[in-house]
Amino acid sequence: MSTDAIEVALHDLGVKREARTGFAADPAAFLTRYALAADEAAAICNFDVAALQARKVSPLLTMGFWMMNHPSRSRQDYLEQLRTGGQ
Amino acid sequence: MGKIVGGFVLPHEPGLFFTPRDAAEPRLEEVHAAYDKVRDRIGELAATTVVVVGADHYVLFGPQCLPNFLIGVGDVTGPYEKFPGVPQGEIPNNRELAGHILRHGRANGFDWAASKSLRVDHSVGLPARICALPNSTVEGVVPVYLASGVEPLIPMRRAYELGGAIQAAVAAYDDDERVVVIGSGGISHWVGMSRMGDHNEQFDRMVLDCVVNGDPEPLFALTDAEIVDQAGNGGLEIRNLVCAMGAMPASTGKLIAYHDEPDWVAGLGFAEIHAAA
Repeated sequence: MSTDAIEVALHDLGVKREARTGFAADPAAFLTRYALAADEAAAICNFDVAALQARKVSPLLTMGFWMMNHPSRSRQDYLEQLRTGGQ
Repeated sequence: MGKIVGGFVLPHEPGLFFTPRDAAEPRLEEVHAAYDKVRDRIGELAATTVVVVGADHYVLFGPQCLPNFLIGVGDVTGPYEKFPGVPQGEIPNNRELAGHILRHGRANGFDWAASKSLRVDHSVGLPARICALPNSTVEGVVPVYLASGVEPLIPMRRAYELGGAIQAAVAAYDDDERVVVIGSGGISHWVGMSRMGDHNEQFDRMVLDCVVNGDPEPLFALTDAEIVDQAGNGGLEIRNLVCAMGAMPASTGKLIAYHDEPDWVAGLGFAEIHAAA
């Protein structure tokens, strides 16, 4: 729907434990509470931080989202995904 | 009558504090020594209150509400991040002075947002814990947050003017407060961007020269796009440094230290701003 809605979702996933728990349990179902288009939800589910930044989402949020939710929680992995676009 | 007796600019890179001090390698120890210098100078200035100007990193405030500039007027705790040896509980606030700054500002064209219960992050919490509160003279820390990390950003010149509003409020205060203002921010750093880890020493030293020379004009001339290009999105938080400069207009200063190492996210600049005689 909008960059703003993505930022609301990523902010929640960065700072709210219950959001992280819900996302970890069922990412797609969790994201239905936000006004996201299918491709936006998919980018979040896939930790496609390059795609999210391409939509002008704040890098502060994409990094926070990765570090608090990605299985690796690795800055190196985050930067690799960002620089390669997941290729 | 209150008085601003000194100012400082310093970084708040959290990665510096994840390693316990006694395990710090020499380069990191040099950075800690710069923080020690600021701490000791605050003590020598016999500061009674320290105003710390920091940046939210899209954690304290979300997309639903993004204050342009905010002052903590009530309970303050933090930093919320865990660092070895750094307490996370109450930070004593000078509520009377904070409330006065808010009221004085609102009466003079600066519509502060306010927090009655503020859990600060590393940008305010680390300077408070590391540099301000170890001094027995310091009775309170007043937290200030600028929109310097998340868009929409406070204009650079407005950040400077806000520093002037803090100065005017302190000068109009009834009690004999001795106030130090800290502008807390890294200089060049690309936070969460693909260039994360890069630094721009030339840009960093240009900013520090402006602080030391008491000349904000070159910083006013920069567009946000130019700052992001030259110094990353983290470079936008030089607004915090500019705010400290505005609290001590026409004051020159002295470089304390500059460090630029690949292991650190930001160019790390420390400087003191001397109060005009």
